[in-house]
Formats: sequence, structure tokens, C-alpha cells
Amino acid sequence: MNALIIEDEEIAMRALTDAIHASDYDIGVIGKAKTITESVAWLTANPMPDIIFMDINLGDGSSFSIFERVQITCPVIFVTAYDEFALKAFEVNCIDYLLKPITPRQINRAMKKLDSIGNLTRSENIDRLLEWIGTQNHAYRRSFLVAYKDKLLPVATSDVAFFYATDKQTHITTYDGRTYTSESSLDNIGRSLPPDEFFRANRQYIIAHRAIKEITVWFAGKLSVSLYIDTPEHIIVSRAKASQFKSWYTK
Amino acid sequence: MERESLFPRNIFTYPLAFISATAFIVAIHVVVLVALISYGNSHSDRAFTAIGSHIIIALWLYLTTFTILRSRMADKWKVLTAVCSAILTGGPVVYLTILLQNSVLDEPIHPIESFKFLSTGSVYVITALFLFLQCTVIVIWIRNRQKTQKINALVIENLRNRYLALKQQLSPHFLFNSLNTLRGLIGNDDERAIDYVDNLADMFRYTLQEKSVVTLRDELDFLSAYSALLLVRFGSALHIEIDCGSEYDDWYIPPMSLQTLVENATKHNVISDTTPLHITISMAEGEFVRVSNGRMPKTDPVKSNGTGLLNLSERALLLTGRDISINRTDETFTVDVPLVSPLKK
Repeated sequence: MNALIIEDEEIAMRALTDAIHASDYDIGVIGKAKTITESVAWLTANPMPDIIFMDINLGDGSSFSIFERVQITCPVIFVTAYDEFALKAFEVNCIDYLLKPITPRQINRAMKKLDSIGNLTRSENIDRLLEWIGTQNHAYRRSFLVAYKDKLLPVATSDVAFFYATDKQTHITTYDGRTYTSESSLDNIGRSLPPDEFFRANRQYIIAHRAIKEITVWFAGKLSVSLYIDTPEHIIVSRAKASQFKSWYTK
Repeated sequence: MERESLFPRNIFTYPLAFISATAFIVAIHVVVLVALISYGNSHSDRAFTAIGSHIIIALWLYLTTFTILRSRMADKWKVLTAVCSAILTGGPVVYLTILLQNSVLDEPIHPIESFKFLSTGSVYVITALFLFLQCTVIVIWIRNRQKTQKINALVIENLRNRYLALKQQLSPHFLFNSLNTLRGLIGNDDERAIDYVDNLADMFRYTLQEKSVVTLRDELDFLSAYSALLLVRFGSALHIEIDCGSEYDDWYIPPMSLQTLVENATKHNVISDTTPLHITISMAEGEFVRVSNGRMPKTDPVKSNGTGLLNLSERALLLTGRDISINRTDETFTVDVPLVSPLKK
């Protein structure tokens, strides 16, 4: 059985190779890759191995992105030290994984489990895993690095009253009335905010729940929202979004 | 937030303010009296009467002032009423006192000397206002002190919790990665395995302490142990250079601040043989320690909730009174962490 090992740390790579060799299975390591780039290069240049052992955190990013760049048809066994998010992802999607430090016993167990499930199920599981990871917003930002005068400052998300987009820049205004600028787009910021606390009121504004002072009904079913902190422009919630906004606000 | 009244009703510090302000004014009068008598003032009996009446009127004004302070009036009305009552009480009572004094001492006021009456009267009114001010200041001072103490206690408690959370965060992932590396070293490179265990032990012992500040030397020793562990793991893909001299060894720094920054650098940037990561730790002007690293962000956004820098900024402000300073260019990311002089601790 031929295996490819993807692991960014030299010694960890050796530890994994040793454990594979010491297992009950006859597995030969035919390839080693340390980064996403190397992995993609190896997989494009060589025929598909029988199995891949894949560390999740690589030196140049998460190994999940290898799947987006090259078609993998063989079974994959993931390797991680302690990543709660990854572990949850594996449990939910019936994926084989190894926990560091890796022992031959762990390899035996994983290989045995692999034998018992069909090849089709395996690739389906991986597809589901990637999809699941895409939908999970697992880490909301607790702070933003913003520009203020000539400095960069970390600002706590809980201090932000509203985010406001102009043509080129995103502005962040805190409850003490200070305004900072951020390099991120309003869309990107919106994705990283806890949805209970912040609402995308319109194309220009994301507002904090506790910053809202008053909501009044505007004409044509629109809503006008005023905050405790002065906003550069009136915040209008469109008719299409009004009911969503109301249910968010009263939740 | 609703603005709080300057003169809150029913505040329990009023009796304390009353007693201390009264004690203060009585003490001053006693000192003046003693001075007048010991200097053999010919009118010492007259001075005694004057001061006695002064104390009585001061106490009277205090009582009215406190009644006003405890009333339900708005702040500005409280001030206005207190001023009026000082003038209204001060004037007639002073007049009566002087009349009494004059009749007792049989020294009637000469019409030409009537300005003395005015000046003495204004002294009383000024004293009354002074007392009012004094009371207010004491009440505000005590209240602010209580508030600051409460806020400080809350802030410290909050930061301590977050600091503990930070340590927890560090532990499992780092520990298991380290154990895995150790497993790879054992049997292949026992000498390095021994060093590795020593550094790991030093590092974990350091993270278990509960100090709010540490000396730069201790932090740098810890950082060396931490760096040694990282260097074994990443090999030639990571370069860490620590060059802080020894001049600031006994200055203070928030614990694990430098480690947080090194960890951040390794978390957000590419570390590979083709793109090695360079981190330098050095001194910067104005008693700062500078952690600087090359910027080569990982392709996919790193799962980070951005607590590291915020937490460090808050801890630095609280413990040193100065904020960290962050600088980012296309090539480098630099954070300066403030130090506190050993004399100021």
C-alpha cells in the first residue's frame, strides 16, 4: 500500500513515518509534502496514492484547501494535535483522524475502520466535511485591528456601535463616538460578526443591537433606525428587510 | 448613560464628610485661638468669643447645607439655595453676634468703623461657602475613590480571567504538538529530546504562575524556552532572534506578552523552507520591547478571533499605563510592548 504524507514539521513527519512503519499494515511511504503548494504539486505530478495522511495546519494554510485545488480520489486520514473545530467536523462527518502524538496502535485502528467502509462513502464523507466547514461560522471576531491617525489599534467588537461603508473605506464607530477605518470590506466584516448582536441594516450599515435607540416606521413600509451614537447618514431598513430586522431586534 | 447627580441623596459618606469638615474647621479655630492667647493678645477674651460664635455659626451652616444636599432638588438649585442660605444666615447672625459682643464688652461700633462690620460679615459668608465647598469636595472625592476602586477591581478581575483563558488556550494544542515532536525525537536524537523536555518544563512552569507583571529577564528566558521548542518543530523555516541586551533586565512587563506576539506571528504567516519566517525581539526607543516579523499572510484566513492583541493592549495599559504600539507595512508587522521602571512598580 502506497502512502503520501502531508506534514509541515520535519520531526512530526518522521514520527508519523515511524508509526506507519511500526503498524500492522504494510504501508510504504512514497511521497512527502510539507506545504499546500508542495502537496498540490506532488498530487498533480504523481498517480493517486492508495492513502494520504494529512496534517490539518500546514505552514502555508489549512490543508482543506488542497481539496479545492486538486481532485483527490483516495482515502484520507487527517492528523491533528488538538483542534476542537476540526475534531467536531470529523465526528459530524464520520471522518478518520489521528491525534498527535501518533502511535502505531492509532494507525492500526484507523486503517481497520477504513477497511470497513466503502470507498464511495469515504469520498462522500469528505465532500460533506468540506461543505460543512464552509457553512460553519465557528469563530466570531472579538476584535478588529483598525487604523487611527498613524497608528493601528485593536478595538473590541463589543465596543462597536456601527460599521459604515463609504466608496472606498469601511469605518468603525465605537460607543464613545470615535471613528476608525478598517481595510476589510463591510461584507467581510459582516461574516465575522456574531449574528445575534449585529445586523446588516442596508448596503452601508451594520448596526449593533444595543446601539439602537429608536425604530420608527418610514413611508412605504421602510423603517428608520436611530442610534445612541450619531450616524453620518440616516439608517433606513428596506421593506424587504424590515420583518427580518424586527424579528432580529425582538429576539 | 444617565448623568449622576454631584450631590446624591442619602449617600452614606455624608456623615463622614460632615465630621471631617467640622473637625477641620474646629481645629483651625483652636489653632488660631491658641496662637492669639499665647501671643498675649490684649483682646484674647474678645477673640475667644468671636471664635466661639464662629464655630457655632459654622456648625449651623453645615446643618443647613446638609439638609439642602440631602433634599430632592436638582444640582443647580442645591448650589443656589446653599449660597443664599449662607448669605442670609451669615449676614443677620453676624450682625447679632457683633451687637452682642459690643454690648458685652461695652465697646460700641463707631460709625466710621462700620466697614469692619461688612468685612467681618463677608468673612463669615465666605467661610460658610468654603465649608459648603469643602463638604462637596469630600463627598465627591470619597465617592470617586469608591467608584475607581470598584472599577479597578472589576477590570483586574476581568483581565485575570482573560489571562487565565489565554493560558488555557495555549495549552492543549501546543502540548500535544510538543509531545508529538518529542516522540519523533526520542530514539533518533536523544540529546535534543532532553533539551526539549527541559524547555517544555520551564515553559509550562512559567505559564502556571499568577503574577500580574514579571521582569523582562524572566519573560525573555521564558521566550527563549518557547522559541527553542518552536525552532525544533519548524527547523530552518523559522528564525527567531532575541537581542535585548541586559540594561532593562529588571524592568517589568506583562507576563507572556512577548510569547503572545511570537505565537501570533507563527499563526498568521507562512512558515516553509521556501518562505521562512523571521522574528526579531529587540529594544525600541522609549523603553519598549519590539517584536517584529516578516509579513507573508497564509492563503486562507486564519481561524482567529483576534483576542491576542486586544488582550495585550488592555493588560499593558493597566499594568504599565502605556499602550502597545502596532505598526504594519507590506513587509513587516511590528508591535512595541511598554516596560515599567523597577522604581515605579
